[in-house]
Amino acid sequence: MEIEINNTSTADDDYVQVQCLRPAGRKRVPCRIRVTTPPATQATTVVLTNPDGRLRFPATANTTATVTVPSDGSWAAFEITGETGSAALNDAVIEAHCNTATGATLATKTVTVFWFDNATIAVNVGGPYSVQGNRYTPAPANAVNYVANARIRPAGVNCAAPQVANLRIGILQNNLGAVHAVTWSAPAPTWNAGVAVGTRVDVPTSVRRTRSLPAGTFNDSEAQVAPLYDQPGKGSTLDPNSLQPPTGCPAAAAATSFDSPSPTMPPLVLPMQNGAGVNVGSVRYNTVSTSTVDGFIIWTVVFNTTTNEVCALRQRLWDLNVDSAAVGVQQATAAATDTAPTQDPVTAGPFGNNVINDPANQVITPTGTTTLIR
Amino acid sequence: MLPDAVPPLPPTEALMHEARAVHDVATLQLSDYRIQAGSSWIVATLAPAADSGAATIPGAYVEAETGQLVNVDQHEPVVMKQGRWQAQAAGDAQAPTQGRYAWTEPMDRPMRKLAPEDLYSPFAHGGTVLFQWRASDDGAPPRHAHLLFPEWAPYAAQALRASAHLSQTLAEVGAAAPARAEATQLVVGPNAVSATLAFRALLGAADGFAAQAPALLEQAEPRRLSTFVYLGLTAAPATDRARWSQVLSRQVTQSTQPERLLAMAHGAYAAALFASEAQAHALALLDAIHTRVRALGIASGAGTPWQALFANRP
Repeated sequence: MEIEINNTSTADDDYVQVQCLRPAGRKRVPCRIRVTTPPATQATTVVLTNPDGRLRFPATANTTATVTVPSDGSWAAFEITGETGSAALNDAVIEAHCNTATGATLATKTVTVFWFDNATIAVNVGGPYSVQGNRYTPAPANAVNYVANARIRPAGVNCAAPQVANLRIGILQNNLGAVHAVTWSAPAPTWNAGVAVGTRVDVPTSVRRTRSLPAGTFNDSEAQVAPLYDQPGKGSTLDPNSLQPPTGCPAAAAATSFDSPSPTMPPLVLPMQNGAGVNVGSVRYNTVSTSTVDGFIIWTVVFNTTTNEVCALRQRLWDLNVDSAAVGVQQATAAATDTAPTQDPVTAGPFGNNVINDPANQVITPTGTTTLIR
Repeated sequence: MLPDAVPPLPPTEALMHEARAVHDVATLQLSDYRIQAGSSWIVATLAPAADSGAATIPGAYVEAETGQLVNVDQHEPVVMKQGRWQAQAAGDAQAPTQGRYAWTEPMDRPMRKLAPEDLYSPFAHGGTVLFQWRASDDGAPPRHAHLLFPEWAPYAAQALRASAHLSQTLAEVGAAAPARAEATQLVVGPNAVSATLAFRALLGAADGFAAQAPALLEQAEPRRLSTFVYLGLTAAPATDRARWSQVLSRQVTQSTQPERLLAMAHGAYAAALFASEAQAHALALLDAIHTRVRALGIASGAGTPWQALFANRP
């Protein structure tokens, strides 16, 4: 009998990706087995085993598989997935036994279960925030710069194999929470012509607009680059190097991107109306402060560019808690270390930036009363 | 009477105006502007209305008797852009000589990175712009609005009037020696807009252009130098970028003239703001300029144009 991995006779593609833990999932590789000296007298019951435990056929519980191999030499299909990674190329072995798991060995086939190690996600804190024109921004630098790395193992994996060729190291980010506020105050009137001297108008002393994300976790992404935080070659690409081959493959490099939330803080102008609904003028408020309180979790992921599937390899938390009215350096803060993933990334919409911009998630709160006199 | 080309601006806004003008001139595409029935390029000075750039809440008002903020429909704030423009030049003699603009845009919108309009809006703060006017626009945001240095308005108009020949020359720079020679002449010629476009074309297409760079940079007047620095950081072929960084760094370390260092700083600042792939090199150049300014004892504190440039730098 003979066994083919990926349904080809070539050994260049005898690979299967190790299972993903975050999110849980297995990439199935189609395989097949047939008699090599047909016709046999009858179909053969074959039990496939994997003594080294690196494979499954294909689900977690399927440590063996029973296949009926036709007598006429035609193929019988089965699937494998990767349970644990290979230490060396071709160290996972499929054995085909006659009738039972301990029956005579009719065929063997080696496979490599490839996996990723040395995964890191760096969040390098960038420039401090300051008010520049109508923006509160770290410009010309970014608030944070991201660097994602991972290495494919075992050494010597054929990166051109179809199971590997479309895989890239990328970056995925979720919003854990956000509260953005702008406060306006110091009301100053502009009176319409004909408004009598001595006309008194009460106006709010200050106005505060707050936008918040509802409870939950949201993908910090955008339609063109989703499910990732960033991808090259798209209209909304931030960094052309945001997807890269893993270390160990040709042209490997760190995947990079950045984030630079920069809220606007324009003055606020509102009309003043009397009881008859007539505008008597407008009141202009200066921006007193803007604040941003954001929590993020970011991952280094393996990304399949054809199926859009992701597998998280490493995660890090970072925060942006900046206030234009605060004293001291205002900048992002990042966790001191990255860790193995502890939660599944949210990959679907709605995206955090769209949710927080939903008018349903904003509150406008006037406070105090100031009397303006013409 | 023409409105002031750029009204007096606070330092950070003045810096943003400069950075945007560098970016907009350096990235200008002649093919974006044409003359057709009901459509023409126009170079105009903008005069924003008093509240242009301010936010308002559509439908909301302050109830004069009670001081209550009435916002029945719970609209979100929008930013107003409104004012008038007065043409300095136009491609079509039939194009209007003045006009008004008025639109609103969400105060907050999903935004992954800042566009030049987000950091400096001439529609809110004033300036001289080139745009493609259409009769049907009726006050809507003008198409292909590029901020110009005010004194470069005539150069933009001249370049557009010669765009057919200029475009062909620039397109052939990499393949035809006469075109390359003509472009090289344009770089040092009197028209600063044509010079910038020619510099960009030579940068992208001409082998060995970096070797000519020091002489071209040294001859350039300050604003032209700003755009050349911006292009050197952002438009050089990937294989040439390291060499351009060295060329620009050498210009910094050899310069003793504050206005030239300031010009280079503006180019680097614009590149850091608007070209993410060049940001690291641009910030490094900006920091080198900061070091040079300190070494030369040039005043860079409050009240100087340097303060805003270096405000967020270590």
